[in-house]
Amino acid sequence: MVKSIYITGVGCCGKTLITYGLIRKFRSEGLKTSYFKPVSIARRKMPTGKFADTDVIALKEALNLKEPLDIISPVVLSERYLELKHKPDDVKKKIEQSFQLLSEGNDVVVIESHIYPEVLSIIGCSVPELAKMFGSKVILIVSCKTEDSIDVLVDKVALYKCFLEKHGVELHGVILNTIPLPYIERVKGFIAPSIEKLGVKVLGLVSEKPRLIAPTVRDIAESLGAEVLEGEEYLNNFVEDILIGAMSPEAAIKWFRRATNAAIVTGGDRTDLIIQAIETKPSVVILTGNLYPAIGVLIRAREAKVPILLVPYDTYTTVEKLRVVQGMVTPESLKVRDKDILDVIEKDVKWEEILNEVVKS
Amino acid sequence: MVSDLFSPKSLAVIGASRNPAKVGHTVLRNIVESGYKGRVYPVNPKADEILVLKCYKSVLDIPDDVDLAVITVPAQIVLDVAKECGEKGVKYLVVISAGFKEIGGEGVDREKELINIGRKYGMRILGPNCLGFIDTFTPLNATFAAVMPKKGRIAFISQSGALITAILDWSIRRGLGFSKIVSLGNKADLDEIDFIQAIGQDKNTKVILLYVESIEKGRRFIEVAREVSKVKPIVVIKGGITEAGAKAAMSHTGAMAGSFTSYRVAFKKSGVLAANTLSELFDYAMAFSNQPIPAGNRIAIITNAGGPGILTTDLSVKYGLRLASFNMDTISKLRSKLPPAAAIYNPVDVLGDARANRYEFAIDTVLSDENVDGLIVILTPQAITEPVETAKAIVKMHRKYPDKPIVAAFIGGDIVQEAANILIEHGIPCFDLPERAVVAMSGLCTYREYLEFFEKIIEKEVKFYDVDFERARRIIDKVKSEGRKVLLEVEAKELVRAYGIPTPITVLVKSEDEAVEAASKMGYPVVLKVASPQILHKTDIGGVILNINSDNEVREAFRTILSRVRRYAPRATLYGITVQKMVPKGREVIVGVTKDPTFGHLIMFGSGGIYANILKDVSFRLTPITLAEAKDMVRETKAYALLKGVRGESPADIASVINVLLRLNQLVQEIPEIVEMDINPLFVYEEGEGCIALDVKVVIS
Repeated sequence: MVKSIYITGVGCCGKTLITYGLIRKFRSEGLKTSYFKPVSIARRKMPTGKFADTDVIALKEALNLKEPLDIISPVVLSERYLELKHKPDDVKKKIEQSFQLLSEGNDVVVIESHIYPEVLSIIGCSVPELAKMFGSKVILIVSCKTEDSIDVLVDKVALYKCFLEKHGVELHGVILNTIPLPYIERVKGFIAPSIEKLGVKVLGLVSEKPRLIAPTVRDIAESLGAEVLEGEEYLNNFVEDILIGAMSPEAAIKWFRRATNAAIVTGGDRTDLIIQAIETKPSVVILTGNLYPAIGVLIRAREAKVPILLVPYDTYTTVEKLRVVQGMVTPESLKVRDKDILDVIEKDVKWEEILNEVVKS
Repeated sequence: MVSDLFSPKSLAVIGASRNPAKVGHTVLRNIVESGYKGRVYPVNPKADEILVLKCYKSVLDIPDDVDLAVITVPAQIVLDVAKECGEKGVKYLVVISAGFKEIGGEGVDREKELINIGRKYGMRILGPNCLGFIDTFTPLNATFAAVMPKKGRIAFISQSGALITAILDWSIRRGLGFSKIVSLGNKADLDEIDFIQAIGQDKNTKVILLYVESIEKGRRFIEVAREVSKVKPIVVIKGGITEAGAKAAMSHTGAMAGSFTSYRVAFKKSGVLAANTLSELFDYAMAFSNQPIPAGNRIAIITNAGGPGILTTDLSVKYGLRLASFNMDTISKLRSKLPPAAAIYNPVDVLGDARANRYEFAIDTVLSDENVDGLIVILTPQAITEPVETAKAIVKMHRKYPDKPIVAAFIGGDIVQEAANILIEHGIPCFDLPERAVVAMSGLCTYREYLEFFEKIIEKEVKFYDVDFERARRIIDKVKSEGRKVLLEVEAKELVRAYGIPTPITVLVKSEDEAVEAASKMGYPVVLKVASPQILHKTDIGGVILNINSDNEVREAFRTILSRVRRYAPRATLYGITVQKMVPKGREVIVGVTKDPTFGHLIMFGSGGIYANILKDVSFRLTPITLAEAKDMVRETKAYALLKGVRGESPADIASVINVLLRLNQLVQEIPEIVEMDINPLFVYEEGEGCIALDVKVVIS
């Protein structure tokens, strides 16, 4: 059977980027490597009428995968999926067949899980059960950017270890991801050793790098359905920070100046703020409420090379939507950041160890 | 030099038209009717003759040289026409046509192309989207305005064309005369700076008035206006000073704190008088166009009514004028000749029954007093008042005392109209209300203060040689290479230390152990502070813990700050915690820098500490500042009183504060990337003990 690694983790913990990075790395080491996401989330309706996961679309395009979407991602869950319990065998068969197809001609398959490892337990298709089916090594990605006490992470690892073991699968290792700067000491000195003591390898310590998950202006424009009023040529700018301009210009300037690669969100009628914003050269200025700005604003933006987007939503809704975009992965953003992602894999993740153990086993 | 623009030997009007409803017709007619002595060539491919002038198909067909071309054709063909002008060797273009940058989109590109054509052929361009210009001495009216102004000593440069047409119409009735009028339009090439420079040398102009909505080249504006101000006054009215106004003008408020705007600071630095209203602008203009600059601000007021005299006195004081104290001779002379009921001290009340001769006597007496620098004459029309005769007496006295300015307020309407006209004709500003007379006089005095200020700051800038530029440069380069805009506190402190500003020992740590190590190395007591670029005011979230005395307290404080940050600023990116040696408390002041996009770095000084934002006791100066300016900055604030010591307190080391201001001045000039900097608080100790920068924040661009 083909070698496979199952990347799992809870919520937005960086599974997709690490999966992408591992595949890129393995390929550069001469291994034919494929991508598989057995259970994914319906995030976008395709022209065919079927639903697909944006992560899958992004990876398929960025990794140049020949296989059709419904092979790479055979089961796409919408909000209501319990109905699947009536046909557990169909689901299992579909996943199994897809895996078979992806295995052919490849040395390794890197499998990415649903955002909840336990999903589809009701029909025996949770992460441990599938991992058992494919004979994969399971690696858990844990985000350290938590609002709880950071020490909870150790207990979480213990919990998922139990869950896997219940199905007779070993938790091969953990990658501690997005570690905020002040916690690095604690994570290295205390948390990682505690996890090792549970009998789980720590296969990577990745510090927080906002740039890695930053979407581009184009991503934002597309997902907000924004009209690009100015600066078509600067849509590849990264957006790392979101600022709302609702204060007086003299108060705003302090914030605008401090932000790097920011999206500044303000009303189209706030000429004073927009002009001030443009001068601090942000990545983009997003005008809300469908309020078309004064012509002079666009002239300034053109001169300053700052793109201007116009959206129909109010400022609050816009920011909410931006937060969603921030966690999204698009083919564009993967391509633009390819080098940075590989860099993380090479420096912060024990990819060689992962590779050796998978190939060896 | 742009001054050639005003007196071309020949000119072409491209787009001249036979149709009186067209701008191209009005411009040509205005040129002809203004009495222009040079050669005029209308250009229009469809006409043979316009206003009895031979018309040419193209500017290239004109047999002689053409100095100036006024272009009124539609925007789409302006570029072609401009190229032809370039080939013809035209020196100046006045592009009246609209349809450029002001419409956005393609207009922006068209304007860029126009600028390129100008550069390529060495043509200077006024406009586009402007009214044109007028010179009453050449004479030449190359505008499409309906009125030709009277000859006078005032030059008016305006970014708004419509304002010019309105003012022209209004000036006729006011009897105001102009030397030159320039409509700047989009300022694609020639802007207010070029014209201030040119008109600065124009012998026909005594005062330059300027209406602008935005100044692009702030530094250059200051340089040029400073030089010209030494020769003749410049009065400016800036559109868009308030936030709402700035929105309309699409410019900056330049607001830095409270009511301070960088524009005010810049105007002051360049010796430019700022008018608040159009009426002020022209009241200043009237005073400057014919009255001398007073030797001081001690003025006398002569009135024939008590009430207006009192009001004028109040206003004078409010506008920074001083009421002159007469010498004994003057007082006894006034007492001997004026009726017993008259007020003989300043303001002088010659009473309601005063005829012209009594006014004349009072004016003569008061102006002969060496304690009087200028005079405001108030007249209210009463039963036996002689307005016309009084006006003539004032004119006579002005001739006798040509070095002391006189401003009149003949309060009223029809009765005083003739008298007012006589005064204005003879160059004495006469207003209908006393407040305007006071404004005019205060303008004269402010200008004198500027002249004195310029003399005072002739001294060279202070330069420090003990600074470590290389070290400062390295810090900034490192921050830039990491893609950051905000300096860590340790970096910011090292930066100012490199420029000789003392700071307490400060170390950035990322763990409790590091914190303890750092603290015990520098010695207790210490302070722990959160380090995050997103937390502007550290005390707001409890991110500062003072007076820490042991290893255990360091650990506790470290954890406390982290948990507070997690609670109150969960999204903030943390760089770690700074450990700083605790220093004895001094008097708190704030010193800072902010970079204005137009004028560059502004240095700030004021009352410091956590109340700084509320007190707003601050003064600003644009860099480069001199020692005199640094001293003025400190003296202007209430913090100065604090530093001098209140109720028996000993004075603080003010010299060390001035030293810091001057060092900052040098720092931001040598490292121009700094856009914002705050030293708050700067602890100032007793005289001779110096000061220390406790917290330093620096943002770069």
